Amino acid sequence: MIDIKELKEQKIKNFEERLKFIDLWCDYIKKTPNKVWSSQQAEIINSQITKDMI
Amino acid sequence: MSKKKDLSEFFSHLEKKNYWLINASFNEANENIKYNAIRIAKKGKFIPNIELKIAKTDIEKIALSERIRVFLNSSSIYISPIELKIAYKLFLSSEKDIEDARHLFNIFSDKIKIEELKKMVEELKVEKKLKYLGIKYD
Repeated sequence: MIDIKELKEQKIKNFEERLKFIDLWCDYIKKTPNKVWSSQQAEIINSQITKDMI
Repeated sequence: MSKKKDLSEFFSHLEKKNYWLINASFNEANENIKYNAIRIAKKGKFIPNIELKIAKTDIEKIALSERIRVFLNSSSIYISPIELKIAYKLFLSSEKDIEDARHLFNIFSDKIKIEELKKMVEELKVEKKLKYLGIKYD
């Protein structure tokens, strides 16, 4: 039997953790040269795009 | 988004340039766009695609009239004001939207006009959600 109360609490906790992660990511972006952080992001984006899509 | 109401020439141009409309036919597009956004992609493809709509709501009209030009190397695009984007995401209010609002607020913290943000937040009646950005609202 799934504990819904526990699940709802976990949902709130996960959300709070994600908000904290966003703060860390933004901090990292601001302190890191654009070329460095953007190349990491480009890797993900480029993996979604194939040559014949362009 | 577009302010223009008659886009038949534009749709005709798209068809000639080998694009297709994912959720409409070229014949119906000029009429359909009055009611729904139209998705456009290169023929034979589904992604990437772009969504085109007519600005109808106050928010959409503000997004167009107060747009910001962003320079990307030798090109540029227009985006809506960051303050409007943040307030609207707080209004939409899913967890993802709130995360996006917080991300935008953090990244552009030194460029955001706080009074402008507060004005938009008041307009959209999302003052209580400013807490997600770490802002106290009195």
